[in-house]
Amino acid sequence: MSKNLENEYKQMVAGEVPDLWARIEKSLPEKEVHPAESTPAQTTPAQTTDKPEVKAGAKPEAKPKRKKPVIAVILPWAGALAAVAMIAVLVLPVILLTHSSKNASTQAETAKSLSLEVNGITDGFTAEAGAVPEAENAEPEATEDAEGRPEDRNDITADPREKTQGAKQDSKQHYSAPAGGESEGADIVYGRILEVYKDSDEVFVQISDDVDLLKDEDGNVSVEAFVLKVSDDSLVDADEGLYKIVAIEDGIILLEKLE
Amino acid sequence: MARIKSGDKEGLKDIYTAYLSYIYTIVYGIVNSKENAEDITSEFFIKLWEIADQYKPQSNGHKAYLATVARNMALDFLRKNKREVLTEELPEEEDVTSQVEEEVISDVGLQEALNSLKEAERVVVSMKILSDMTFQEIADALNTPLGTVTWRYKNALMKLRRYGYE
Repeated sequence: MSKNLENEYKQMVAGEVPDLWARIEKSLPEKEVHPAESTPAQTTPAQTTDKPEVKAGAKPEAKPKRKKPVIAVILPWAGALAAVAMIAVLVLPVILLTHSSKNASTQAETAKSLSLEVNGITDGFTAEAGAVPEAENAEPEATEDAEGRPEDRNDITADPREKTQGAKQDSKQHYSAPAGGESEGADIVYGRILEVYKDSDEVFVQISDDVDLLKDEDGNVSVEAFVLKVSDDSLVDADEGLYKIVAIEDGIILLEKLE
Repeated sequence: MARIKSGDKEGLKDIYTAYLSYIYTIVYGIVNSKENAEDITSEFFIKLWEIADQYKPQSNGHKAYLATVARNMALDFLRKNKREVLTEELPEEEDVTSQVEEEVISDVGLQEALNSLKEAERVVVSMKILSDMTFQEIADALNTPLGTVTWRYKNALMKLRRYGYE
């Protein structure tokens, strides 16, 4: 008994089309038909007949001209190529050496900052969920973030609620391991909420594409999310609270609210 | 198109006869108004007459070319008149939506089923189905996030399913 929406809808609209020809014809501007343009076949022979005339006068010059450019093009390029190759040979080893030494130092730095973030997130999470007073570290970070930089992760974890009251763009989602999860597993993913939709108890969150959702050992995305209230004209407010990710479909995450 | 280039109005009329409903449907899908769709469709054929000189045979066929021109014209119109169109067409239909219960109401016409949708949902459905636009194109045209567009479309289809439309 199912009806074909697409066909029926198109037929319905097409059936309403009025006759517009009289109206169109009235508004048609007169066309200037250029005889020369309308018959392009005529113009091409004219052009081709022109060429032999020119060639006839310049026939002896035509052959040497073909050879000259080849040499003229190759010689300057050969010089330039040689110069570039020389520079590459001299400079590349130096760059590679400096780069490798930098890498070693940055790796150590990122390892440090990651562990900091992990701790920060867990603190923020428990503070929100269990109504624990704000972490001591939060204050100075929050003042830095007053300029509205959504990139600052530590800030969000310090006081996410303040951020969302400010603006939608500033609201940021963080996902952490299930309540019992320790920072050892590093199951923490950061993402900025792009959109939030709510349908009865289900909440759909679309997060920015650059977020990698970490999966557990079995390959399941079974992390909890703390959804902040996001308000926008085109969006539905989602309740604050703990949500569990139950599905990810077309970049949209389906969350199920935890009691 | 060659006939139009050479100033043959009958050539245009042939295209008009063959593609009027196709073009009108595309345009209507975007502007969602009979009057505006009629205006734009008329303008479309006039424009076709004017730009025929610049027409180059398309690899994907002239039907796709005509559709693209029509779609762009309708989208231009939408851009220029966005505010008015959106505010003007916000009806009190939202209550009707809430009245739609879970059971399948198959003995109902399409118009009534479409009336059960929120205006924003109907716009997305029209653009998708009638104008054959991608979700991204719709999102750009409405200046609405992509997720919102897909969400509205999904919602609309769910509602229409209750009326037996697949």
